[in-house]
Amino acid sequence: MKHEEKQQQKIIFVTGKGGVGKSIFALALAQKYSQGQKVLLVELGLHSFYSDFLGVSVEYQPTPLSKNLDIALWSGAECLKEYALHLLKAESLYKLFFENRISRALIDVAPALSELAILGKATSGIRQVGPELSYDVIIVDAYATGHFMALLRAPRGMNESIQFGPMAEQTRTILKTIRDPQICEYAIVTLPEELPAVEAEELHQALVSEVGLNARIYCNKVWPQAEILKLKKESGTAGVRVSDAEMNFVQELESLVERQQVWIQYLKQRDSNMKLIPMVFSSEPRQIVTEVGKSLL
Amino acid sequence: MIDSHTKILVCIGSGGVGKTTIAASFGVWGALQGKKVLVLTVDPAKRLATTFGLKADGLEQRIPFPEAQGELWASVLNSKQIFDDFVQKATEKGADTSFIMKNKLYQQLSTTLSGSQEFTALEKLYSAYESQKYDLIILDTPPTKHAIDFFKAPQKISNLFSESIAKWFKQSKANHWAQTFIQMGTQKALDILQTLTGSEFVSELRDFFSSIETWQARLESRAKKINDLLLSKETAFNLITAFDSAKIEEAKVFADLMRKSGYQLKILTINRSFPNWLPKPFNTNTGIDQFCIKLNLYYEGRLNSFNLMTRAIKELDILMLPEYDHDIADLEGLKQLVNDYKWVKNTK
Repeated sequence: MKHEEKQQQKIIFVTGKGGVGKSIFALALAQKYSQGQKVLLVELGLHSFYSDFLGVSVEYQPTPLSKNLDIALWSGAECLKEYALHLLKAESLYKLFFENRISRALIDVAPALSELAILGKATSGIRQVGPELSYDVIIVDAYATGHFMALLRAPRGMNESIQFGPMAEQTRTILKTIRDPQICEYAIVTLPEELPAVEAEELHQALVSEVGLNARIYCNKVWPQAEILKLKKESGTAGVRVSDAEMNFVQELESLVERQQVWIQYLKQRDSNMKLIPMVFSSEPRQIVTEVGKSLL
Repeated sequence: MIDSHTKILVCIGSGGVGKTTIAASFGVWGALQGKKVLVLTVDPAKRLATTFGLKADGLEQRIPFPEAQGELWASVLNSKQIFDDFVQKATEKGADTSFIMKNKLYQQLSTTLSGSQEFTALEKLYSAYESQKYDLIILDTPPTKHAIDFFKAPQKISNLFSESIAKWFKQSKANHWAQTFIQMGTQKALDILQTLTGSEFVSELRDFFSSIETWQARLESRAKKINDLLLSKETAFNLITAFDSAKIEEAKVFADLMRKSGYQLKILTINRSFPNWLPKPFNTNTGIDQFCIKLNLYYEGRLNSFNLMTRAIKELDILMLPEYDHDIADLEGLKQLVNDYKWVKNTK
């Protein structure tokens, strides 16, 4: 029998302007993939959004969220520690370094070190460096626009200034990985409004020039145009009496969806296959995630 | 809320909550009250910047606002430029700064480094405050994932520039690795750093730290002054949040933390809390009415979770802002927003 080749790991970075529903989207996407594959959903930073949102505890080590879906929170410092431990082999050495006051201060702000460590961790399975990340798909609920681009630029910046040594070597393989369309995908979440749409378009361009890949755009909170047009039709049907106030309301809704259409068309010029995610009229977290997930199927 | 002691209003909050627009609206509010106001902003919406003719050159620019008794000024922060200016000023007169400006680590430090935007925003705030040209200065803080990152930034930068860290590298340069009198631990740590990153990186770091020696004293004293100013009675904070339960929960925890740390958190702003265009249900049982009921239920549901939360927050004024059916892109829009300020007073 032919030896079956192990499936290539996939890494999906989710980004977008703050407040567009990026984290909820990332969770819905993770749930979708977990229907057939083993998925790790990763948050970046020191504070977990999902712990407030879902009432679960989220830490550096993955914890199970549902079947085939684990969740983790990665900070730059912790990724760096893990990498150092892997490289130095001995815990006593790494303690010496990370418990030194001065090196701690340095790590806190040292240019691009945290960013590199995070990208290094995300791509560690692919690059076969460090502890194994045994997942089919890693979904990174990454930083918002500007900070995300700084994250992606870190390896190139480092590569330009430091060309020799172990860090330079790591940097080159990270660069190669984040530019590989067979491995990495980029998802931009946005809204059909001027500011988020313009920012998404700029981000799309920045991604093309930085990693040479076309990001997929997902337009969130799209109001139900068909339903609203049906209401408008109803108001014009003979025999149905509709008050002026109701007429005004329908007109307001109609102009709302028209304005959204302007920005949807604008975004489609960038990504003609852009997915639309309907507005969910609920404030119940799990219900929102389920509804958002439906439009991803 | 903001009283006559308030000289500085810092608008903080996580990304995407509308900080910039709200900061600008407080500028308009202040000018209408007859104050001379400066709005320091990091990343203004393009259209707003275009309408006001703002450039990212860091200059303080007066915005024509004839009907206001006061004056409205604005400045778009340019992190790199502020950092460079700071270095120029802090370096001894006549000293050559071109060496440091060319250092690659400095270039990253002054632009992309975590914390540098926050630090430069505060540096600009402090020099504007020192100039005594304004009655009120409003700071729109850089976008962070979490509002608390803003407070950690200056300390982070200040730690990096502490005397000890520069000494660390300086000694290691003067005496070579093995012969120094520095602590064994530190020496080992540096060796490990070199193992991890390579000697080229460490040597760039060493160059960097030896060239900043002249201005780190000023940086440290500046960081302290800035911190004192943020804790003083003259500085009020406005925490801005979006209207969803996770964000509001986060704001609640943060509000407690800020107060415990001694910051004057005066306002909690909830942006886009209710649509200003949604009517009450019509009770006609038409399809239109059904849809209107659905929307009302949705917004009322949000309002309920909000009410529960505000009961838990004391000694804080809450400002509720509507959700508009258009973007705010000019002075008229900002005036409208000020007009629509809806205060829920919790203070005596």
